[in-house]
Formats: sequence, C-alpha cells, structure tokens
Amino acid sequence: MDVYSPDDAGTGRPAVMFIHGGTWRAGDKDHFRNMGPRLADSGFVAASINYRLLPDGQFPNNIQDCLCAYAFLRGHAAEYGIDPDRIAVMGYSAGAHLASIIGTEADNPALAPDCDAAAGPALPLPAALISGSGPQDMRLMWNWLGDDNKDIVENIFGGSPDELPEAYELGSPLAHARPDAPPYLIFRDVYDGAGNGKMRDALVDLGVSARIMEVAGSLHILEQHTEAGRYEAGVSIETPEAWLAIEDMLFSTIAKEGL
Amino acid sequence: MKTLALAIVMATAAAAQAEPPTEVIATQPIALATRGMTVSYERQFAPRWSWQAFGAVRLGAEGPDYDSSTVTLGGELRRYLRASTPMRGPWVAAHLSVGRTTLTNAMSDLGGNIAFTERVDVGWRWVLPWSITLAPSIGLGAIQDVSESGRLAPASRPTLSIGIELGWFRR
Repeated sequence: MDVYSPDDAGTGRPAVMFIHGGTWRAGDKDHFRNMGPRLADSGFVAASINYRLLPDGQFPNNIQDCLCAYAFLRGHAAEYGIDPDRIAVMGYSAGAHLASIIGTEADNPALAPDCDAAAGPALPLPAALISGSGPQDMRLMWNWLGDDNKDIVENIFGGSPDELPEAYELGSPLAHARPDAPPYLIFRDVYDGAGNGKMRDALVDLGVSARIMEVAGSLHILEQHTEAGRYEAGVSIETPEAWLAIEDMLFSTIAKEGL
Repeated sequence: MKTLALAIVMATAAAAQAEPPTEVIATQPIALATRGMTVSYERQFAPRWSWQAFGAVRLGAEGPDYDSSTVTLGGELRRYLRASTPMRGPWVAAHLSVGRTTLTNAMSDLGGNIAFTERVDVGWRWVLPWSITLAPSIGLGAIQDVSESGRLAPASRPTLSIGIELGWFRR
C-alpha cells in the first residue's frame, strides 16, 4: 500500500483508497501516482493498494485483498491521521468493479476476508464511492463481450454465468444496490456494456445520491483533456470535468466538514 | 527576446513582399465526433518556419447529471525540416495552450478548472488533391490542472498526445 499524506501532521483527516485497474490481470498501485499526491497536497490522505491478480487473484481472492486493505486502513486510522468514518473508495476499470463491491458488499459475510486486519465485526460501507469506467454487473459484461473475449470475465470467476450463477451474482455490485449505499460517482466510457447507467438508476431509485458522467470520446486509456480532438494517454477520471466532479463529490461527502 | 521579435517581424515582412503567404486553415476531425470543435490557422513567416493559432470548444461531460464546457486557446511555433516544400513534410513544434473547463449539474455551478498544456510535437503534413491537407502529429509534454476553487491543489502530469489535422492548404 502506497500512502500519500499531507506534509503537515494532522488527525482525523478524510481519506481516499485507490484500487488500480488492469483487467484483473495486470496493473499496479503506481497507477495513481498523479492523483495521490494531488489529494495529499489538498489535505486528504490517499492510499493506493495492490491486490492479487489473475491467475491467483480469481474472485473472491481479489476483492478479499481489497477488503483486507480497507480494513487495514481503518484499523490503522490513528497511525495515518485518518478518520475511519470518512474513507472514500475509488477505482478505475477493474479497480472500479472491486471498489463498487466494497461500496455495496463490504459487510457481506460471503466475502469476509481471512486476514487479521478484518477480524472482528463486519466492515462498514465506505463513506463515498467513486467508480471509474468499471463493470457493475458481470453478467451483463459477459453478455456484452464478444465470444472471443468472454474469457476475460470467465477467468475471473472460473467459468461462465450459467456454470457459476452465484459467483457472478456475488461479484456484481448492481445486484447488491441498497438504500444505505454511500454516495456514488460513476464514470463510464463511450461504450458501456456493463451496467454503469443501470447502477446509477438503481441507486437513485433507492434514494441514494448517485451521479454518472460519460466523458465524451473517452476510450478507457485515451482521453481528451482540453484540446478538443487530441487524445492524451490517460484515463477519464483525470480529465478536467472528471476532476471537478470528484472535487465536488469529496467536498460534499468526506470533506464536507473540513479537512 | 527583442532580437527574436525583430527577426520574426523582418522575416514576416520579407516573406510578404516575396510571395503570397502559405497558410492552412484546419480542424481536428475527431473533435467533431466527440462533442467538440477545433479551428486552427497556420501561416508561414520565414523559410521553414510557421506559426499556428487555434481555438477549441469541448462539451466533455455527458449524461443525465452533468454538463461541462471547455474553451481552449493555444498556439504553436513550427519548424519544417524540408526547405524545398513550404509547410509540407515533417515538422517539430513548440506547443502551448490554456483551457478553461466549467462543470454544472442540474442544481448548481460546480466550479472551474484551468489547464495549461506545454508540449513538443512532431508531425507530418501531406497535401492531397484539391489542396486538402492531412497532418498527424504526436507530442510529449506536461499538463497542469488548477482548480479555480482552490480546494484541490494544482497538479502536474506528463502527457503523450496524438492528433490529426484536416485542413485546406493555400499558397
């Protein structure tokens, strides 16, 4: 876990836990090397985590590692100067999927991780959730992917939705949308075959504050910043409009009462 | 700096006396398909050298919950590597722009962001029949984002950028 802290010592700060993407098979906590320092310079504590990747990181190993990290951050809140009740979880791509599971199922006994950090009572849901271009329903994603790419999802669960319906249901945040879910900010790419719009609508119907932004022209790892028509290597959550939405989200939830 | 400005003015004047200027009006076609528009004007001011100015608008945020708009102004100083074909073939350029993005939702104005972009670009211009030009380019540089509210600290990150101009070449 990489932790980015403000220069000045403080206590009870709001925190953001990042979960990187990489199709559940690749990637590293270093993906947030730009966002972490910015949040730390702004007064937040930011933590970017790793988790087991495929093939070792088959579901639920991957989400259990994330839950262990979340529990660790909560358990060491005083050490990091964090208010454990003001932690937002944020992910991109595969990391957004795992983040959203934390947003809806952190307290699900079926996902309870076997680690010291998570021993004890069930984990509470985080205080805010930012999901960047990740799937919310793995069954929808499986259906949406072409036959040549269905193995991307099947490798996560070890089979198809017909073979493992319970695992797919457990690994689909949309199936677990609930009225006490934290405020959600969802980003989606130009193509959204994995239920981001449905997740936003389901949460809103349940009375949860949930918003969605589609960043025009976003191609998952290519985005347009301010120069229309030019693509930058980057992700949609680093566009200026996304940063503004993230700023609004953080300062209306975990930083509402100050940093 | 004064010497450079004087040289540019003299070179521009000399070019203007010698022959009509070579110029290009162009756009980034991908912008048109992604809720944006860029218009640029490029003009040769000395052998191998040109300047370009551009303006862009972009409506980046879609969906039921947000609207955004970005207005960007910028420019380039280009050095063409071939002297025999004005404003054609390979070039290298110093590129600068500043863009302001504002975000709103149904209830309120959610603030603004100013982004500064500095890059070194390399590109290539082809002139096709009917004076149509195509000019792909790739650049390396940095982007700085500054939140107008000051709630988020300024941030800087490296960028790798690609683009393609579609334009009209006039000589």
